[in-house]
Amino acid sequence: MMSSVTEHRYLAERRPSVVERRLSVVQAQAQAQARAQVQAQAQAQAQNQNQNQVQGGVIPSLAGLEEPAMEGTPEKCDVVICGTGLVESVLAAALAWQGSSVLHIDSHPYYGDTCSTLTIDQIKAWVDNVNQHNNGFKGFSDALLYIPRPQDLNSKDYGIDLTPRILFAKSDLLSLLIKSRVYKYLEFQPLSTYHTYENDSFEKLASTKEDIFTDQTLSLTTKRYLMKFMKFVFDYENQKDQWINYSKKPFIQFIQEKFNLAKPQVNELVYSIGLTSTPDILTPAGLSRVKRYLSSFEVYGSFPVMFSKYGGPGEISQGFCRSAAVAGATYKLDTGLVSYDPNSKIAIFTDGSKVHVTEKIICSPSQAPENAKFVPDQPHQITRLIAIVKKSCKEWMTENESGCIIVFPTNSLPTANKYPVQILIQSGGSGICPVGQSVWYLSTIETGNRARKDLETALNKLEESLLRESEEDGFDVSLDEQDVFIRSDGLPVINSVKLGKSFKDFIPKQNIQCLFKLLFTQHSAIPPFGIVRPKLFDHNKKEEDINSTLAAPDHGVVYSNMPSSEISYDGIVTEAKLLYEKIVGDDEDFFEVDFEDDDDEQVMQHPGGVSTGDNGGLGQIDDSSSTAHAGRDSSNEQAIADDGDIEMEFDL
Amino acid sequence: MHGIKRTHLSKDAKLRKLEKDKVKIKTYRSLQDDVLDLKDSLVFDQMALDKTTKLLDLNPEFYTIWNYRRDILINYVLKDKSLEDLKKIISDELLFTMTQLKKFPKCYCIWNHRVWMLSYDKKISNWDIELMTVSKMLDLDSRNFHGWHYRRFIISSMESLIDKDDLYSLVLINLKELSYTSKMINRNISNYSAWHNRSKLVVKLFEQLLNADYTNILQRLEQEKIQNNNNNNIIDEYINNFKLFENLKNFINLEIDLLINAIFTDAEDSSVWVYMRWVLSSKFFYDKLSKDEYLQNLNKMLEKVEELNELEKDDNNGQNNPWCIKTTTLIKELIRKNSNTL
Repeated sequence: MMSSVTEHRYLAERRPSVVERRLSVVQAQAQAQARAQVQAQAQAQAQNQNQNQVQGGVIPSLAGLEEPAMEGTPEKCDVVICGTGLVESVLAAALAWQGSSVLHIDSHPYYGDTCSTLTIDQIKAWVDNVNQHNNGFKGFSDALLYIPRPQDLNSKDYGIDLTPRILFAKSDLLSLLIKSRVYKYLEFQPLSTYHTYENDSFEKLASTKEDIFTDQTLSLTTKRYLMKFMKFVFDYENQKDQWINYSKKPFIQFIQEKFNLAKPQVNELVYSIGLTSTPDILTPAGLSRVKRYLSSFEVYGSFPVMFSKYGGPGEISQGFCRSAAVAGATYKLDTGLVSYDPNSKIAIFTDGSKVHVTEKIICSPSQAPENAKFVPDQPHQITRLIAIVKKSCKEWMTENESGCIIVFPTNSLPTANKYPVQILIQSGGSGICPVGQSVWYLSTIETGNRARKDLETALNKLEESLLRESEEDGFDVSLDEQDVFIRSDGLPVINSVKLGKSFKDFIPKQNIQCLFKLLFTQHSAIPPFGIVRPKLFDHNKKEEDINSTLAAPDHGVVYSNMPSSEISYDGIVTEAKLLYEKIVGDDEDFFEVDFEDDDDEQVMQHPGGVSTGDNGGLGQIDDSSSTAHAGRDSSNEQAIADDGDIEMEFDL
Repeated sequence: MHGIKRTHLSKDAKLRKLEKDKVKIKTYRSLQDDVLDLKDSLVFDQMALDKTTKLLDLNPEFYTIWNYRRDILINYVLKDKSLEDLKKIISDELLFTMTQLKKFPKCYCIWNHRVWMLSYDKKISNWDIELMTVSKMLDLDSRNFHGWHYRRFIISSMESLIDKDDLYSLVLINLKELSYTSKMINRNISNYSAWHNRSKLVVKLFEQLLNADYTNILQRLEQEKIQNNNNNNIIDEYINNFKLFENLKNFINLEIDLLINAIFTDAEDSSVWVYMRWVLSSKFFYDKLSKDEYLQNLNKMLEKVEELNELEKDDNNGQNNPWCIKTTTLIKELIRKNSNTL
């Protein structure tokens, strides 16, 4: 089994890491090379140190973090973490900043583990490993890969996420990214378009007051109830009397009965705005998910979510690993756990080295040692279909953006899908594929063959729809005057009912070129919407485990989780905190570090949020507004006022 | 303002602030005395100008100093200057007010000074840039009525530079402005200033078109569209907006639809109800309608408002929506008045 890993050793190829893509680093590397040639004059070194202090501040740039192996394994450490997935990386950084000595290893030659961002060649190797049930790839199964014309794919042009996620503008992970300064290693892009699939067409979401007001297809009473509902959600915690009777009932029932909304709106609210992966969601959970969306609007601009450029959780994991390394954590890639003995507290690794662990050893289920006995059950499934398509899909996106969300609600596909299919689409502008192409990430919590059928059908529907929309005069419907409304502001709008019908009759003249298709199942211990409960991590901690005579290499190992089905980053910080609590005792000093502000100069330049550059990138995130509530109208006014130094009052 | 509370400092913090401010107050007072002395002695020179800059920077609400600054500008800075120099001086002055506006976006004196500076010679001011600047300000706060007022000043300045007979250009400026205003209303219907601007523009456009050759202007717009292949969308919007003004009856019908849409979207937003009151009772409109047509409009609106109030009552334990009640009363009164006087 080891041999197959070594066979793929040449696949340690990487796209340039977060760090390396930075101009300053590229220059610094060039400088470093030049310096090496001149050979260490004492003076030059001193100067170099000075420079580092001036530029680097608290978090110096760490090019070459990926090859830290020279250091070797320390003799002793407080915590060993196996697997550089997002939760584990956040945990490593938190512990390192708290002062624990951390040894963070990964059996792969790249960062990210279960949520890494991979090139095409890395994916190929990954699929082989998953299907051979190799160590380090547990938790994934039944991977199918289809690449019709391998010569058309230049491996390094792609960064495919195993677990793509989106980041709400108001969320705990974003706050943590800002607090820990990890956001400085990353670049975020806005995403404002959500579509809901309905009657064979994609409805763009009417989720703001502006959308509702200008929408020509909604009836007056629907508009009214939608607005009422939105207003209510903003303040639902204080209006318990409205929903207390529904706290054990489905969210869908609540919306229908209390707000008289019909199916299309319910679908939008539950599956798109709420991004729920099951129709059974209860009212309180549903409300909090809708609020999550609404309160994320206008925090940084008129978009609710963002994603990180060049790849999602894989990039963010790397960011936290860098932060951990800055705080003193030791990194070893390409190194897996062989065994741990809770009595001698010695952990042995695949490279033959060993370490004495004074506190705890945490391990991702995917990287459990060979013949592990205590890996928690992973009863829940997420099936993912990832496709690379030779179309930019800009038809579905807001101008200057490179991503969109599409949702197929429950029972909207010919397969009568029981669970919704959630889709994140990212185009070349997001840095994960060449311009003119896009990556489609489809997922569902349906299981087995049904899941695969649902995903394939959704993929077909997407293709059909894309063809219709990108074809110049793709369909042939005779529209007469009655089909055209004149909006009250004078714009003519074509009656969409008739168009919707014609869509069904439309037969595409061409096919979409699919360059890559990957289908796999991922297993998880976290139920959909399940809140991560502390007891999840209690597995294997009990005394009887330690004392049990069962021969196992993982006595006393605390297992973390496989990623959940949640499409956003929600839950990651909670999970990391729970693990942190297990090790430290409480979570009070979780990232409670005084990260000195070395470069405040950028911070207040853009009152009211982030500047949107020409490329649609977000540039610097304004620290101070991260906590600002999405007070719609007046937040900007406030921002201007805040920008002024001091308000002075004088008696004149 | 708009539900945002002023922060109140604790007693302790207040004292500390007062202590800290003492020095500042002292510098400010002496600077103020200085400038007022200079003003009384009619000193108009660079040193005096610089001092007003400093003082206004600290306190932009001090209108006497703004007046003095203008005296300095007229009697010294702008005096006997070449065109190039003038342009430079004006742009410096605009820059100064802009940094001030960023800090105090709702200070009358600053806006006023900007208007004065631009009016110094309307021909050399760049009005397109002004329009863009104020649009940026309104992006930051779409309800800053100073900004909206300033827009109307810019538009009328632009109009004043156009030949009175060039109706096409005059109409086009206002069509553009109408598009902008509609965009802002769509973005947030809760905006008195935008609705008010709409009312101003509507009347203005109807009046401009009163003596104009409607078809001729439409043809020129169409030509413009052909010439501007890249920018078809926006010109289409102007054309569609322009078509609204062909027929006043039609316009009012669409305006009523727009209003119904708005009150059903948000029944609690007062700015829409206020605009509705204007549409329903403005002499400008009903003078041009027959009695029957007018009554028809009123009844249509009445029916919708009553329907809305019923829905509101269902949702709010039988409580009426005050705006519905007020408006129902208004419409009933208008109907009564117009049915009596035959």
